[in-house]
Amino acid sequence: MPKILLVEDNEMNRDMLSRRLARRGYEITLAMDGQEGVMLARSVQPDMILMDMSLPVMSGWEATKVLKDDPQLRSIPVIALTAHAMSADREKALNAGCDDFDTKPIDLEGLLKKIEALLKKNIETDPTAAQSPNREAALHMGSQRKQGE
Amino acid sequence: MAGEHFRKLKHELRTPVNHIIGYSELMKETAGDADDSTIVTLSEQVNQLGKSLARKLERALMDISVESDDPKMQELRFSVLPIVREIVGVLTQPPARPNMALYGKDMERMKQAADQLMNWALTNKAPES
Repeated sequence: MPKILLVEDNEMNRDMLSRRLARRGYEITLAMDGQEGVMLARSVQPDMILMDMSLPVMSGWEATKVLKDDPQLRSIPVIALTAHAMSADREKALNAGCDDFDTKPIDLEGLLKKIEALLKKNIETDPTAAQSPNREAALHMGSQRKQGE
Repeated sequence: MAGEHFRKLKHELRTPVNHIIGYSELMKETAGDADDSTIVTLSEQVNQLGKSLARKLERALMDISVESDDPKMQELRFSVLPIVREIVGVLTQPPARPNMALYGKDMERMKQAADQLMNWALTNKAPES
């Protein structure tokens, strides 16, 4: 079961998205700010991070920079989640090191496609991810969805 | 300063709208699993209203200036109010008594988000996200 770390300060957004992703078979860990997100990324070693950008304590941009500067964590894909649909925000997130970007309100099907594509890409390009116990699960989830579509 | 206040207001308006959209989708999924067509229909109704609210908000927020006395802001308040009232109506007077153990929390959260928007539209006060 692929592990996703969701970093989001708004309680309702956390509840909503974590329940929807759990229904799709992902194991969810929750963090409430950027600092906690970095700490949990180190201890949980998730397969994917969904990062809100406007966070207290440490912003999503800062947290992503910290993650991407850490050789142990930089291969974990980060998808930026923000309410701002402006192209400048997208650029800012990608410049911080985010691998992809999604805007709120979340279109779950679209987000799932991004998650699966990044998990698959990571498995194909990162030798450490290829040894992960979640490898088969990540690949299986993508193929399962394709059959269901 | 006015720009920062406006940016915060936009965020605080979008957040409850996103909650209405997200929770209605979640409730539709739960109702689909339980084969509960009444709640599926109700969720779709709330979801469509939420999306129409989001479109209205995004269109208006692109035009409105950062000045708090922009008359377009007042127009926006008037235009969102009937949609918010309809959402509250659908949630508080469902066609059949819903299984509250399954849907109660999500319905309450959508109502809470709608109340925040109603508060903003009626009292000129920014909702708390």
